[in-house]
Amino acid sequence: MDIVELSRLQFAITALYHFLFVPLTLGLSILLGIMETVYVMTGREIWRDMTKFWGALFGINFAMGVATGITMEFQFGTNWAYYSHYVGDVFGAPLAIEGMMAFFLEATFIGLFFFAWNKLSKVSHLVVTWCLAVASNLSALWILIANGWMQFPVGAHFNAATMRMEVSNFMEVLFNPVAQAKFVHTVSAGYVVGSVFVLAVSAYYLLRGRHAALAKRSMTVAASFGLASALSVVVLGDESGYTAGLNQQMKIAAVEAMWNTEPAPASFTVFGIPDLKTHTTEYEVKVPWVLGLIATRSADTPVPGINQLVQAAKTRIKSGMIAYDALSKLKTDRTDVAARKTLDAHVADLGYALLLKRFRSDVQNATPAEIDAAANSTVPNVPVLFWSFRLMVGLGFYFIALFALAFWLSAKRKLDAHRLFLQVAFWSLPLPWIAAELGWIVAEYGRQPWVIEGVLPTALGVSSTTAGNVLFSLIGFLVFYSSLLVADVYLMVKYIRLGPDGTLGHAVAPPFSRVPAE
Amino acid sequence: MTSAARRPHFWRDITILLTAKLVMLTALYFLFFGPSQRPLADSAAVSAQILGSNHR
Repeated sequence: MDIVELSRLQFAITALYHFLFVPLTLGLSILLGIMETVYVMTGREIWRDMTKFWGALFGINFAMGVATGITMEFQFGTNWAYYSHYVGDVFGAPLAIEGMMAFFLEATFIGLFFFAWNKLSKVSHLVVTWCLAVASNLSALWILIANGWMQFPVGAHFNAATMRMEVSNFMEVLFNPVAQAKFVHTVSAGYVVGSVFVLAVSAYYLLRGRHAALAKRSMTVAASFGLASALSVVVLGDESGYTAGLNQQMKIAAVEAMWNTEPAPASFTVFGIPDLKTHTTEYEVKVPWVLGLIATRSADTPVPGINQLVQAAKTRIKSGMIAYDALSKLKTDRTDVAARKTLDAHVADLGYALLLKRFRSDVQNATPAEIDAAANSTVPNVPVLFWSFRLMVGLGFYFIALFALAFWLSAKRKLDAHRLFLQVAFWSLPLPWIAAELGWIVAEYGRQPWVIEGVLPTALGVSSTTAGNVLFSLIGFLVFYSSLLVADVYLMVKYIRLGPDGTLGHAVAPPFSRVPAE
Repeated sequence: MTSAARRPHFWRDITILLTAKLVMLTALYFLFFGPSQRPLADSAAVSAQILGSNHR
């Protein structure tokens, strides 16, 4: 593996690992708010104990997860130095605000959540819990604004003097439609993760005949919130698909394994086996109209296919070569007015010319064969995207069914009447994490070969360090993260087995006479 | 061991965990990501990376 692949692998491993913790934090924080709200509204002690017990598991997850993302910021300086310089002016601000949100706001409220139960009034503590939930979600907002800009780089321009992208309109960066769609889709996915977690652990207790009062109430909250969240994930995922259809057409085409443009409205491929060599998809099962409606919100706008997008990329590469040549002249003579004018006219395609750097250093002299190769390199790994997306969507619909069934059983007060349902709920525990990680694979793997869509190829963002350095730090990360994963699973299992009584140090379901009837 | 006796262990576990994590993160930082490990990337270096070394 070369340094580009090693740097990508290291970043992917750390990001995927970090995102094991993030969605559970997002989901549990809202569930804690809901449970404590019920406590404050009803005055029933069991709801306070529920908040404290799930809060303890939230605390373990938070302690495990906090700062696992900071290693990605380590990597920006060492492995992605050119990337950091090229886009740091834009990317740095939301990243810094995210750090402030995560480390100061969220950490402050989590301290109050755990240690101020006896020091604040009921309502004040409830406000703290909701502030914790909002702070967790806000920190996600800023990192997704940064990530959204990588997918759709708006509100910035290229400065030839500093050789980097600079912010021209921060509000455009902030209200980037891709970032907003990603934010609501991602946090909703986090709510599904939190809800499945509560549902599965509660199912475990009911299967064992333990803590029934807490488990049933927890399942009711998880089923209601989870159903709303799972429905939101699908609807908001559709919005993500639409925004990708506007500016990342190759990603959409690759996800659909759509090799050639179809007459509008394009059909959605439910099943098929994409073949990279022949540029065909075998055994296709298609649903008419669906892709056209998702990707374009219209019945008469075509969705371009991979082969047509490769042809379009060739045109942009040729335009980018003109920009590259002008930039070279401008760097030699800053007063060259003609070069400045030419660069301004073609600067939007400069990134496409940079795709040629893989094939030759003097980009402006690229041969037709090299232009073809560079254009073909804009196609991401179709089979990986095709199957990742379908598995993710399939799991999304499974969660809707699971929560709907749980909700119905809860309404009928039969949550503990069907062991098969409880077993299915318990064994569903890892599925939302798999769906969330697949979502990131679709989003980030689908962006390749770009680190900033259309602006900077991934290979040019990597530092001029050695592959050995990256390999050793990758081994260090694997040891670090494996240790944390073992500790996380150990502590979670320990406190789930210990149960609410053992974790809180008192009986959670007191004698019935002490619990007001609900 | 009673339930009540187990309760304080939660914070002991969290403290051990956070301490171990802090030590590992610090070690990782100084081993692989400290200032001496960061390559130079200013406008001249990026010019050289993108346009060639004669454009530094």
